[in-house]
Amino acid sequence: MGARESASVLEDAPIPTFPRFAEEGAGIETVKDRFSRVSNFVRVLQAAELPAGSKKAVEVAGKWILLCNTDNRLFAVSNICSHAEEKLDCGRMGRTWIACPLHGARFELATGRAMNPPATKPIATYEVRTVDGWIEVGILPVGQASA
Amino acid sequence: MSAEIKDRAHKGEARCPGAPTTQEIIASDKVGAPRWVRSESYAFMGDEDIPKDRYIDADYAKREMENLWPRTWQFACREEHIPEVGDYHVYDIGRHSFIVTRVAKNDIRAYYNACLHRGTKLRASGTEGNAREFKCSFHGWSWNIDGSHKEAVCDWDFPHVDSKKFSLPQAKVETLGGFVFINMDPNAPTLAEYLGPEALAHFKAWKLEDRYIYLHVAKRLPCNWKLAIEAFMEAYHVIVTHPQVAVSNGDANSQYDTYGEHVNRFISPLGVLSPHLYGKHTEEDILKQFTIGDSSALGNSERSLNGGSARQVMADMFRGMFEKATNTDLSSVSDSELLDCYSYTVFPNTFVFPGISLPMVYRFRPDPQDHRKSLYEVLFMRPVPVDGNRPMPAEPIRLADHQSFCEAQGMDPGFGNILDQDTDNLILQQEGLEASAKPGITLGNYQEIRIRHFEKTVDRYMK
Repeated sequence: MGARESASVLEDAPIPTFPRFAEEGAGIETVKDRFSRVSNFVRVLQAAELPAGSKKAVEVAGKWILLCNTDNRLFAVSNICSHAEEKLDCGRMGRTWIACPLHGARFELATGRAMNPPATKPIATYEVRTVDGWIEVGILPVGQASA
Repeated sequence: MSAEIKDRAHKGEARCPGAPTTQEIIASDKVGAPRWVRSESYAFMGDEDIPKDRYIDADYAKREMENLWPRTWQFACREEHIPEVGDYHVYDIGRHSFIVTRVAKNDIRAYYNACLHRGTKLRASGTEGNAREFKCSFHGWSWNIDGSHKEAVCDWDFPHVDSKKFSLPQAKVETLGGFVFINMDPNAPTLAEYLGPEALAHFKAWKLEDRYIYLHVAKRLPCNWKLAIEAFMEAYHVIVTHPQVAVSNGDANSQYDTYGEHVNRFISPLGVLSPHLYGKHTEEDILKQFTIGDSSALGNSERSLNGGSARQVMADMFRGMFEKATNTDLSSVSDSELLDCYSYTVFPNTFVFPGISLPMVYRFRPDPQDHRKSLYEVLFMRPVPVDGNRPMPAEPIRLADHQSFCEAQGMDPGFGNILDQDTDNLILQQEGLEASAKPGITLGNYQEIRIRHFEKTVDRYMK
């Protein structure tokens, strides 16, 4: 099984990278749009720190986000169980799920869906990507992010 | 010897006329088969009909849940499902539920899955995870992973609870070949006694602990669990149910064996023509039609006879291509192990196919709500790569009732089609038995001996 430690990366995190602006003629970008696009993706961890089969919790902009490298891809979900607010990073990670260590609720990493009792509510999922050897997370949950 | 006894002695001795036996086919292979392949263990067990109430009576199913399931060894999970200390896997059979937990490196226990306070399941059915403790989600009573009682919240209110006597009750656990077996009966024989020395030696020879599950598919079937099991216990149905397979399958000359009360098998030779089709196909046809369960490992290879037999060409091809695809050394593995379908049953509900071309496990369980439904799982195994890195076991793919096995991602389409053909008969059989004017089913003496052997053991547990 993979690493089960967690780490806060707030102090080490570099300044968020600025995404390229829209191509000329692509349309007028409002200040609000531009702010969202600039601020959404945040560098959180060097990719080498999250090898295949491992997971790590990071605190970003006041949110606990769990990064998982499993089944040949990266996932980012809320690190807090929707059932009893336990941290998920001490739980077991399967190919496609994370299990809460306290009562055994499991959540699908791709969608955040609660897979079994006692949880019924989903957990938030976040966009995640690798850029220049860094893992970047969209700090607005999927569905709220505009970038 | 009376005429009756003489007649009985001859019953079950007939074999498919005009065809070589499975042992004769295997004896001519280039790379010879091991001892566990080259033996026979058939005995005539009677030819009376099997009463049909066991398949169609809800009350019979209820009594099975009290008499049969709590007293038999059942495959609960693979060791690879719970690799780390604290890992658990929930196994259910009917209303019974167990948290199969790795307590230490070589210590696996199966806890009855219910809080000793007011009964809530400590872990949901069908789940896996890792626990530092098993804490009930209702009032928070908790148990250590070794099953000892840890805490009753507000213990001042439970002076009558002796924590030392509140350990989680356990079922017996044994492991063999990477399989974790459980048995609820505290007086059950050991797994070794249950299997018997001959079948145990076969299991040990396979070294299935060196395999991992790379595909796991589950589907509900519209029939009693015993009908589902019996559909896979003989090759007698191949010529009619799977005509596309018969071209490269010695169906009517397959071999059937029984071992003690709990294990039986067939060996169904592949890469040879069905005796039903003698004179109708060439060796080229056999080579072309060969269907296996894991053809993804073979890629899109060209098949050519070059003067050899279809069976030998396929054996040589399998050896090279499976070695490459799975990064394993198969140089000492016999042609028969590479090609043939070995189907073993461990009573009551587990099939193991230890060959290379059909590397599977089946598990059948009754639907606890409906005796006319059952849950079927097929798990495909591959050798662990020689670099020793064991991949995580595949997650179960749960098909809906209407879905084809071909729709499971990773399923070989040819084999998915075979499973569809096998299971599409079952609703007709369930309904037919309920509609029939005949009180029982009639079995062949040789080709259906596994079904008779299985039902005799059912009878023994149901007495």
